[in-house]
Parts: sequence; C-alpha cells; structure tokens
Amino acid sequence: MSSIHDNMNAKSSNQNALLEVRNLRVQFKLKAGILPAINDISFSLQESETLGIVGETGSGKSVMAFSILRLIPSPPGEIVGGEILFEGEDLLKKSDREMQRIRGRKIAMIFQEPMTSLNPSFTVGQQISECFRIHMGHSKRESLEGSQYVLNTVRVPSPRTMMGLYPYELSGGIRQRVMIAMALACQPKVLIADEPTTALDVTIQAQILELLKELQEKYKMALILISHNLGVVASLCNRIGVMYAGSLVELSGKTRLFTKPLHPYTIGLLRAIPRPEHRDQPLAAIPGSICDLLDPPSGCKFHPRCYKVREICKSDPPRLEKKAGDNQAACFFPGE
Amino acid sequence: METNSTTGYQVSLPSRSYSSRLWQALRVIARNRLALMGLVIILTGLFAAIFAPYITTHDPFEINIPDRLQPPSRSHWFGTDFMGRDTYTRVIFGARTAFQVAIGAVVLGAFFGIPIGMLAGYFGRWVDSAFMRVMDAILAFPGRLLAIALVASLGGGLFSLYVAIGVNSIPSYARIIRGAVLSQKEKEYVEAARMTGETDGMIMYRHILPNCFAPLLIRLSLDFAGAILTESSLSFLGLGFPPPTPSWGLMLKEVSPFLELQPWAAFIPGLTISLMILGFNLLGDGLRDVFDPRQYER
Amino acid sequence: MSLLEVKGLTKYFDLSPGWVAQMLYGQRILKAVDQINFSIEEGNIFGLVGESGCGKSTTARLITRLVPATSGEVFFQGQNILGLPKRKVRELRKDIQMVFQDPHASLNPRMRILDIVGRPVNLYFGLKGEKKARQVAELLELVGLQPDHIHRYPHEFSGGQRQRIGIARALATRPKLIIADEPVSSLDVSVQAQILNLFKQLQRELNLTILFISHDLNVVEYMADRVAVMYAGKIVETAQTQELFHRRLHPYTKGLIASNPSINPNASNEKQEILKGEVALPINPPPGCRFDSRCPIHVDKCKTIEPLLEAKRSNHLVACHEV
Repeated sequence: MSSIHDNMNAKSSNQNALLEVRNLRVQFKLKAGILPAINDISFSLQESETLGIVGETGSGKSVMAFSILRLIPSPPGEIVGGEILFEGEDLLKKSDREMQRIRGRKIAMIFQEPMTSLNPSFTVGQQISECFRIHMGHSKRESLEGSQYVLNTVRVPSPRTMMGLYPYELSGGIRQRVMIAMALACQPKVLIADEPTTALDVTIQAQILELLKELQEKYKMALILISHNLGVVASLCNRIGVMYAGSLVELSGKTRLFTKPLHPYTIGLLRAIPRPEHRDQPLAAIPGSICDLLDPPSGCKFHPRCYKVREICKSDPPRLEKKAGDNQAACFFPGE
Repeated sequence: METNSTTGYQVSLPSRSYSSRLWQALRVIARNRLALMGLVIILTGLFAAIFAPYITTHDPFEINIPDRLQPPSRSHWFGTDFMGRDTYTRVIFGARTAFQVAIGAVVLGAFFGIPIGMLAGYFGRWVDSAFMRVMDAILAFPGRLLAIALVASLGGGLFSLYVAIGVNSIPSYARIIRGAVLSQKEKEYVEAARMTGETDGMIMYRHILPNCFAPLLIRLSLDFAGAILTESSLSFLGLGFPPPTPSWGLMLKEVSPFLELQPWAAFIPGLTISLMILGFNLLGDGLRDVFDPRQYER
Repeated sequence: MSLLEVKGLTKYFDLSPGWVAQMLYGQRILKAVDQINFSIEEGNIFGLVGESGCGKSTTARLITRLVPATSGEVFFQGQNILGLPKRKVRELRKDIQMVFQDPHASLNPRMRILDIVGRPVNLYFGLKGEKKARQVAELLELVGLQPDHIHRYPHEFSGGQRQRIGIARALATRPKLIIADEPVSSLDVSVQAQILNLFKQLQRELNLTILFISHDLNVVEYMADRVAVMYAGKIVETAQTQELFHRRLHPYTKGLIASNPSINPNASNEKQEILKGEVALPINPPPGCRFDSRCPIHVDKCKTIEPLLEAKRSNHLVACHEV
C-alpha cells in the first residue's frame, strides 16, 4: 500500500466527482534507477463526463490508466503517493478482494490489442458470460442471455453465431466490439479505454469511436479515453488532458484546447500535425526528443524543447493551475 | 583520425577491438553469479586439460601393482586404482580426453548442422523438405543407441567417437538455425540488406547468422555437456575409449568391481563428470545474456 | 516519359498450396495486387493510401523486386524492370531504394551504424576504410545526425533517429526513386513532423522522386503531389492531391476521408459517410466491384461487373460505375 496520510473526512473541491485523482505518484524500480512514471497528477471526473488523455511515448498515460485500477505490475512498479477517490472512497486503500469487485463491475477497461486481451482459448460467449456470472452472480442461462444482449448493443453481426466463435476467427474491429461488450456487461460507471483504436484501420476506427460515443450517451458512463491521436480524442471527449513525461501539463475543454491552447507542448503538438493548407512550409516540429525519465531536467521537464523558455522554467517546476477560466496548464507563460 | 576536407569532421575508424568486446562480454557474464561459476568451472577443466602433464604427480599410464588400491596418501592424493596408477593423475588427464571428444564431436555437429539449417531455412520448399527429412531420420534413433551402433560399425578410436557423438547433434543445430533463420528472414533489415544489393550468401552469413548466435551458443554449451556424458557412458559400457586411456567413464567402469574396497573411488570421476556438465549448463545460461546487445546499455 | 510507370501489375498468393490444403480448405487465392496502373513523374511525391490488406506494401515490394510479380510490367526510365535478370537487379537497386516502416526491425541490431549505412557505399562505390567512413559521416549529417555516432549500435538511438539512419542508408546509393513504406507510422506526432520535414527537404535538395505509402490521410495530404487510393488489391481512385481530397468521387475515398478523426472542433459530424462492414481481404474475391459489400451507393451491376479505372474528370481517375 502507499504511504498516504489518512484524510477520510476531507471534502474534495468537487463534491460530485465520480472519480478524483489527487497527487498521484507512481514509480518503477529498474536496474538503472528509479523511474518516476507519474508525477503528482490530479484531476477529477464527473458522472457521464468524457475525458481524453493525450500523450506520446513516455508520457505515462497508460501507466495512469492502469494505476486507477491498480493493475500496475508490482514489482517493478509501485504507487507511492496520492489518492484515487472513487465515489468518495480511496481505491488505494482497498484490499485486493474489494478491488476485484470494482474492476469490471464499477470501473471497466478496454485495451489496445484485442488479440492479446481476449483469451484465445475461450469462445466469445464464454468470456462475456464470465462477467455476468462473477460480478452479478447470474446463472448460466441468464449470463448467456445477457451476453447476447450486450453483443447486440455493440452491433456485432449475428450475435448468436458470434457467441460460439473464438477470438482468432474474428477481425480486429469485431474483437474490439467484443471487448467493449465485455466491459459493458456490468454497466460500469466508468469506462477507461486505453488506445482502443490504435491497432485498427481508419474506417473501422471510425465505427468503434461512433459506437463508443453512442454507448456513452446511452448508458451515461463516464469515459476516460487515452490516445496519442488528438483527432481520436477530439471526436469523443469534452475535456482533454495532455500529458508529458509523467505530468499533466494541460487540462482544458475541447474547444479551448484546439483553438487557444495554453501549454507550449500542446501548441507544439497541434502545429506538428500535417495540414494541407501549409503544404509549402515545413511543419513546426518540436525540436529534440523526450527527456530521459531517469535523469530529467530540473524545473519544467519540457523546458529544453520549449520555444519560450525563460530562467524560471529551468529551476522551478510549474504546477497545474487554472489559467483561463476552468482551463488549467502547468506553465509560467501559457498561451501562444 | 582523419579530417574530412569538405565537411571538416574528424572521423575515426572503430578499433578492431575484439578484445574490448570480449571484455564487455565477460563483464556481462560476471553480473550473473551462476554463469560466472559455470565459466570458472569450465576454465578450470580446460586448464587441467591443457596443462595436464605439468600439474600431475605421476604418469597416468604407469602401472605399479604392489601399490594398487591404495587410499589417498601423500604421494597419491586420490589413492591408486586397481593397476596401481595414480587416480589423481588419471582424473586430470581424463579432463583432456573429455574435452578432446567434446570439442571434436560438437565441432563436427555444428560444422554440418549449421549450413544445413541455414540453407533449409533460407531457401525453403524442397531444399527445406529434403534436408529436414534427413534430420528427422537421425532424430528417429535414440541418441545413445545411435552412438553405440556407429561406434560398433566404425571401430574404436577417437575419430569414430567424434562421428558417433557428433552425428547426434547435427539435427539439433540444423533445427535451431533453421528456426532462427525463418524468424529473421522476414525481418525488415533482411529486406533492407537485399535492397542494398547483398547476395544471398552475404545475407545468410553476415546478417542472419550473427543474429542466430544466441540460441546457437547456448546449444553448443549444452552439447558439450551432452558429449562428455555420452562419451562417459560409452566408455563405461566398454564401447568408448579402450583401456588404458584415462577417461572418466572408463575409470568408473574400472572401479566398479572394487567398490567395497574403495567406496570413494567412484565418487571422484563421477563428481568431475557432474561438475563439468553443471559448468557447461550454467555457462549456457550466461551466454544467453551475453548475446543480447541490449545488455550493453548502461 | 514518367520515371516510373506501372502497368497491369499483379500478385497472387496461393494460400492453399499442396493437395492436402486444397482438399481441406478449397482453392484460396489472395489477389493481393490485381492489375494496377499508375505512373510517377520525376521529382514528384506520389502517395499511395489504403487500409490493411489493400496491397500497398506488396506493391512496394513488387516494384523493388523483393517479391516476384505474378504478371504485369514496371517501367523504370523506360525499361521494364520486372524482366531483368538477377545481376541486373543489383544495378537497379542503386537507383531504387526503400525506407521501411519499423525503425526497430529495419536495422540489423548486431551491426554498427558505420556498417549499416556503409554497406551500400562499399558495394556500389567500392569505398573502404576511411573513405567509406567519411561518406557515412556525410550521409548522417545530411539526415540530421551527429557524424561521430557511426560507431554506435541501433539500440542506442530513439525511434526517430533510427528512421533517419534508415533514410541515410537509402540515400547512400544516390537513388533516383525512394519508396517509403509507412515511414512515419511508428513514430510519435512530434517526431513524425521532424521526419516529414526531412523528407521534403531531401526531396528538394536531391530532386528525389518518392513513392510515399501511408494509411494516414493527413500525412499523405501534406506530403504528396498526387495520390492513389487502394482497396482490396485495386486502385479505386487517383488524382492530384488537392483534387482528390476536395473533390473525391469514389465512395470508398469518401468514407476513408470521412473516417479521419478531425481536430477541427467545428467539423460537421459526417456520420452518414462512415462506412459499415469490415475491410475486405481480397481472398477469392467475387466478380464485380470489391467494394460492393460496403458501398452505400451500389447497384446490381456492381456485383457482377468490375468497374475499370477511368478518367471521370481531367487527370482524375475513378473505378466506379455510379460516378
């Protein structure tokens, strides 16, 4: 368990927040040293809200998703600080048994590679029914009916036949739908989707995103969508968080983020996306590459690559704070 | 160091530093305690094999009937055998015999097995089928029986032992290399090599083979162990080295009728056989690490 | 005369070789590339776009002769390169080079950069030792890397840097045509931008012709002068980039562009154009149009008669009956 100060009676600033992450810190103990994968991240998620988390390699976005459900392999990973409040209770304080009751039932997750996240030895029907049987205690018959129903919801062709098929017999898009069906079986309050469409073709990706949007609206689930693709996140989420080297550097509403981004990294990312209007100019690439996480630069971790770096950036790490209305950024000089 | 006239850069050629690479390899092995132990054991055995005449007290063939079956003493550190020969000396020379056979047999196996596997994997289709069926035929025979049969038909002597033990290992090298080639063949760097104009031969031996070293050397190491064991078994059965060759297996055989008098005597050659085999096994594991280039990161 | 002209290029894979497989599964032929035609002018960047299984990567390998074609012709500078004997192919590789997708797998992990980029320098220009090393250093500098990195191994570099090394290797023979097979798909957006800039810069400086293969429409729209869209082994539409993206005609192209997640928050929800169904793999394809099963505007004719790639507007070819 992590070293958290007991604060059971603390009222959060977001009283109605379904999920609230506070000062989360996650480390990995490697041979070469201690890697701080997540550095003091805080955000909250309301019911039925859609939050997108964007980041590139090394940003820590997947680690964060796994941390919420405490799925970080430990060793070498370890949650060393902070709180994750779900419906008011700290998930980091719960026992394994209690967590098992939450995973899949209250908070569900879908992953990037449906081939490896579905068990190749069991049929689709068996895998979905498992959710019903284990979490809701349904009988075999009830589970099968429930499975078929949920397969229908995810618009899988001929659900009855589908139940008897094995994952290897299905295409990537269908497998992803099956995974979504499994996640939805218990009608969770929160769905975490970790790069759900990255491995899929563009047209299939569009179908899956449309499906997720529809289901989110229908079931009023809160959704955390993690991706490296800003477009994917834009299509589904109302609020978007940008991660860099283990920290949240910006957290803004969707429109705000794309029209008036605050953090220089976000600005850089948006400029780096190829746009046909600017065919004749070089893309404004962000110079350099992500810092060495084992030996990060002092102050703001983005400062070596930042176009408006000043002295203070090199010494003081900026905190995520409101800079324009409710929109937050971790920067001393936000805006373009 | 040369200065490039147009760009002004100083370009130095890499030192043909095989020795520094060897040092790095040793450092990687050193990180793994067990592998290090294995290496130490092997090197000790090798040392004994090479310098046998200088570190032994007697002549391994010198018969001395009056002194037979003596317990360990100051002149005979491990005692004497039933012919009065110094056991310690024979054990040390036994290392020489063991290594001789192991190296010969394994080299033979690799010498044929590697090209077969390489050609089978790279060219596929009928080449693959033809070679692999022959390999299957060899594998169909139980190893020891095949060795016995070969020794019987080829007569005794070092060469027939090489063949007998070596033939057994040809299929395993062929299989390993073939598997490695198949997995590397479709990799993009192989396509890239073809794009830069390399011929099939160049690709097989300069690109694919070095990436197969890991399973190969591990197999080699384990095969050494296996070869020593097979030779010991054959000698024990009287089918390997003829007396009076100092061979550990043969020593075990010679000692058997006298175990009531010298209960420890079987222990010694048995221990050395086990030790060598253990050493090669441990080294094999360590070698797996050595050949992962990523081990050389900080 | 175009630098590269592809005519009727075809590649079939027999998925059930041997009588046992045939008995069990029947005859299964993957028509990966089926009678495709296109041409690339010198100095242009030609984009080839499509989803998985469309045949774009196979096309690349057919042109570079890494994979033998089933039929068709590929004219490079007027000469049919598919008919060349093996030793002539080696010479050809001097002029046509390839940049691969996976920066991790396309460099031999056991070779130093000096050797990886130096091999073609050695094989085609006969340079050795310090002369070779100098050439390699120049090439590295050309792609934006430090020349003193030549002694390092691939694993010591990041993905973006490795891709630069791959580009340096491709440039080592001073080729006229570079085939880039998804060169930025494995890279982060910020690194991708650097590499795209590099491609454009090199294309200008060296007057390269590039066949740029990608599934990412944004990238292709930005990079290419002319684009061809592939589906299930066939080219369904080809036109100059602006023309294709703004006046797309083929229903698949429309669906593809509509599926592209847009970061424009005001983009209208083109839900009606999202394609249904799965991406087709051309295994034993039915007669008629391969897009028929997913096409929103299909008619009876589409099931039986295959549409040909024809000019529907000036220099804008489409393979569809209903356009």
